[in-house]
Amino acid sequence: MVDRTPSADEEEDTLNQVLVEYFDARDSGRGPTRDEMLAMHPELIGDPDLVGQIDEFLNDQQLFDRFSDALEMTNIVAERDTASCQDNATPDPSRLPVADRGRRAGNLKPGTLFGDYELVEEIARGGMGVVYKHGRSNLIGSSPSR
Amino acid sequence: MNNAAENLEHVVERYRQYLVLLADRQLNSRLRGKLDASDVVQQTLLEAHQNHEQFRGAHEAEMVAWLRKILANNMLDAIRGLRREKRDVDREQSIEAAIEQSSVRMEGWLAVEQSRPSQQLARQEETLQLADTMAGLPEAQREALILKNGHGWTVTEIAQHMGRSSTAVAGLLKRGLKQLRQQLIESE
Repeated sequence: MVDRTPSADEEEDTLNQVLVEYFDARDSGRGPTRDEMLAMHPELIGDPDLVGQIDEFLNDQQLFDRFSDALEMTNIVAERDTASCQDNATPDPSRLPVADRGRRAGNLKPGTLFGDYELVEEIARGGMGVVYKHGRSNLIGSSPSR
Repeated sequence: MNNAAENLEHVVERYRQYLVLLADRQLNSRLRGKLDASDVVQQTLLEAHQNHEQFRGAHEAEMVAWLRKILANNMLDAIRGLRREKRDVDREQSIEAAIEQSSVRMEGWLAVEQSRPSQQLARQEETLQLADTMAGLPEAQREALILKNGHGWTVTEIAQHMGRSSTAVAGLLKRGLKQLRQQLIESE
């Protein structure tokens, strides 16, 4: 037999590599759709099992987004605080001294972007600052196209 | 224990995993190894139980607001506690900065919780269900999902932090999402 089918481990690794690309694309703006993923990896199209697993993953991710979206809405002062964005030049209202926060952030319009977050509406205003409801901008348009 | 206290304890317990997720998200990710959100939540639920007669509200939404307030207070205390501890032990600069940043943020959070009118959680059942289901995942899958979605880390950052390859992290996320979907659908 010269016919060589990839082992389960190799298949898993190929799939995971595609998923790494998916997550990275999502981080930098927008997750690719199923068709875009397959267009980037035409070699996968001949492997119905792998394509099926990609479909399943996209379904799982979509369901998770739907559920976690509800949690995001309650998480009103979330902030992206990874090590890598320490020297990020984007002004982040939650990093400003508290006294400055309300003043500088006081009159922001819905749709304003702060890093990964998009302001949706003002929720509360007090001596210590202004609180906005936000959505995660990198989730917009990231659902699979099916 | 009287009926009111017993009833409160029962209701409060439903929010445990939700509060853990919430507290964890408020925490600067560099402090996650030094401070366990679930410990602070445990202490919060204990206090809620001990001080149940202070709770005057009639609705569950008011109770959640009350819990969040106690939690925000306790998180602030816990982070201030780290600052004192750190002063004695070592003065790792990035940690000092993270503690500073986190306590400013907790003060902001607390101010919000104190000034905000109590309101129903957005899509309450979905939120609680997700939090409970996440809590049941294998540790590594849950950690990867929380860092990815709760803290916005990239796959590469998670891989470095967990000492695994990027593809292994993608595998953790994939399996975690699959398991969540199976359990969320099952309970629907």
